Amino acid sequence: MGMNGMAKFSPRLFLDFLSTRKISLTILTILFFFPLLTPSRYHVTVLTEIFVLALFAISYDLLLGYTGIVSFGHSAFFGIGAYVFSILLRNQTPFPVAILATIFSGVLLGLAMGTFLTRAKGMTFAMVTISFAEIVRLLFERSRELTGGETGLFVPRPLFIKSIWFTYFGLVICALLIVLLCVVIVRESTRKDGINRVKASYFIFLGVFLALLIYMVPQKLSPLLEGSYIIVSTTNVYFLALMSFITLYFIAKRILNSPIGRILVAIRENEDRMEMLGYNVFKYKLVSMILSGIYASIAGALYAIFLLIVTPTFLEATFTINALVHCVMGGVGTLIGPVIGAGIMTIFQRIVSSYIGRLWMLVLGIMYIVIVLLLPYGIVGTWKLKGASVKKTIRRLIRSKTMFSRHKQTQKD
Amino acid sequence: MDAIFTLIITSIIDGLAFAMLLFLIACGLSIIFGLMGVLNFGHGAFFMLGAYVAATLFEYCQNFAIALIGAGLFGMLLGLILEYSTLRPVHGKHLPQLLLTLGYLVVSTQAVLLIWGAVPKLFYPPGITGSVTLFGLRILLYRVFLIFFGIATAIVIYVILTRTRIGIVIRAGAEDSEMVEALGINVKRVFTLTFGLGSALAAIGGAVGVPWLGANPALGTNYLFMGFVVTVVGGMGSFKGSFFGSILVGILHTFTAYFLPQVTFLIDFIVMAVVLLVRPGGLSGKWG
Repeated sequence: MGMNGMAKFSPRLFLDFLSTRKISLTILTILFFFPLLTPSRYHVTVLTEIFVLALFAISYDLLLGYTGIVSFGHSAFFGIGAYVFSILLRNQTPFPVAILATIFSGVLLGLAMGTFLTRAKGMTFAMVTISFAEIVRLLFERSRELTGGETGLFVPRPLFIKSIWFTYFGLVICALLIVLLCVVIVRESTRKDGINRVKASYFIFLGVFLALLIYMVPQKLSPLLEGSYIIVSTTNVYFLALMSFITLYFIAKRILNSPIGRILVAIRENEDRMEMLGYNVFKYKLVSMILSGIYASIAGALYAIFLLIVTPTFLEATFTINALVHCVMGGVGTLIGPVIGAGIMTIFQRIVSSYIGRLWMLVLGIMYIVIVLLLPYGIVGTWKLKGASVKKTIRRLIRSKTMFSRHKQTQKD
Repeated sequence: MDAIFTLIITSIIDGLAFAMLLFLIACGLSIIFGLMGVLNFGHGAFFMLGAYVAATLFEYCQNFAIALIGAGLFGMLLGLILEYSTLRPVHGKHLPQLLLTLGYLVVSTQAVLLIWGAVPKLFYPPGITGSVTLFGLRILLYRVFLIFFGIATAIVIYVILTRTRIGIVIRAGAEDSEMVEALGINVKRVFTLTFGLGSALAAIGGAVGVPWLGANPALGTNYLFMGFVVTVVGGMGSFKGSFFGSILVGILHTFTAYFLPQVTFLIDFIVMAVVLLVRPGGLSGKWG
């Protein structure tokens, strides 16, 4: 057993793992280098927001997509997490303690909301959670001494966000990722099965990426390291959001691939059958609720650090609905779907609302309808359903074209 | 003592009037949910649009009846069109339906802001504004009109649901729509019709509510929320439940607004929680 466990972590196996995951590794490297690649701080903040909202959307998907619970009170987790975190930070609590308390608040709220599950099912539960979230929002808006009422609270940034050492830490991870990427490239290129077209295009892409790095990094690095407080803290918040996002994403993946995750999916598919098989459905639903609550409250805390302010708008149904839209757009019941949805919607919103301002809400409403009618299974879901046939069609098109040209050639001959 | 008595009577009348408004919105919500399984966020939109259409019609022709009928027809037409064009393709898929109806609400709220602006619109129908004094009590005539209007509508719907063929089909569909389809009835057409009727009811509710609430862009969201509370309290998909549920919620809401204004925002939730605790299926007793 012990030997087995040791063997699992041998460097060779680790490198093999990386080789199979080379696309994820590449994306990870690009994300970590992003602050050094982009021409403006604005893009960094957009990406930070995407990570936080994606985390929130993932937490919503744990409930909606994996357990089949429709909840409309999810913004309560987000808002309460943000409030607990910022109130503690304002009282000079150290960051780790504050984040632990935030997680604890998520657990407690998950338990509280989970108790409704005993009494309300399906859409009734959805309606109960709507009004629960509304009550929470009004309570927070009214207790002015604690939460500052409608004006909200300013959030002091934790010390490590202001410090340059956290930036160094992020840069060290960047360097590590580059080294790993190089090792993978060397391994891939020395493999015996030769180079096919996919591999070649991957190498070309990597070459361009590395060239860009060599060109951009020296330009960006010195202003970052000698830079002002604002540049350093923007970069640090980005690194923090990215690291939390990656960590929590993989933890969620691990949990959903474990027996608990399978049971949750089975409950989604047929609750009565799971009950008949002897599973305590309520217990597992509660676990899902708590897990989702932890993720959502961490997302709330990160959003508070990002915006530097918490207001009762954090508790509004808007956040829940946005998370729902991210899930439906990307694909309900997949882990990467909500992330894609959050990314597309956030970028789309930034671009469109910079042109038409408040009319954005109208476009958003129309988008809800369009998404439902055009992508009923979401991007990932549609790809899973139709991806194989799309690939086949493309392959057929390419083949027919080459055959056509070959035919022409023979005619010429 | 006398002052408190006056206050109680006034709040009962106000509560009943408010309950009738709630009934007009919750009844359609509940029947649509029972029949089609759609948690219809768009219902608030019809309530709000009904209010605006009525206010605009009243501006032009100064006739309350025409304003009401116009709003009802508008709600019916829009409901039929929306159901046929967008809701029908996603029949049976809860999540897309939810997002779709949410889209109706967002689009109509923004459209209202664009067309009519953010300033609330009000009108006072002649004849039923003002008040009468009975036994030393000042009673607003309009509230009394609302109560009678609501009860009359409830009776009409009750007769339709129990005495006509279409009503029987709707009730049977709420029990088991597949079975009804197997008996040779075009359930999809019944869905469209029910959605149209429910929307018309919500629009009429909005129109009737204008002299009290005023037509404003927040109407949709606020009263949709109240409608949800009533639906849960009354029991999902039950007509009688929505009627008695709205009376309970309306009266309790008004009473707390008069006597304990600090906890008004809590009362809806408390009513809901208590009802769910005692009867998980709502007043009508069906498990939702």
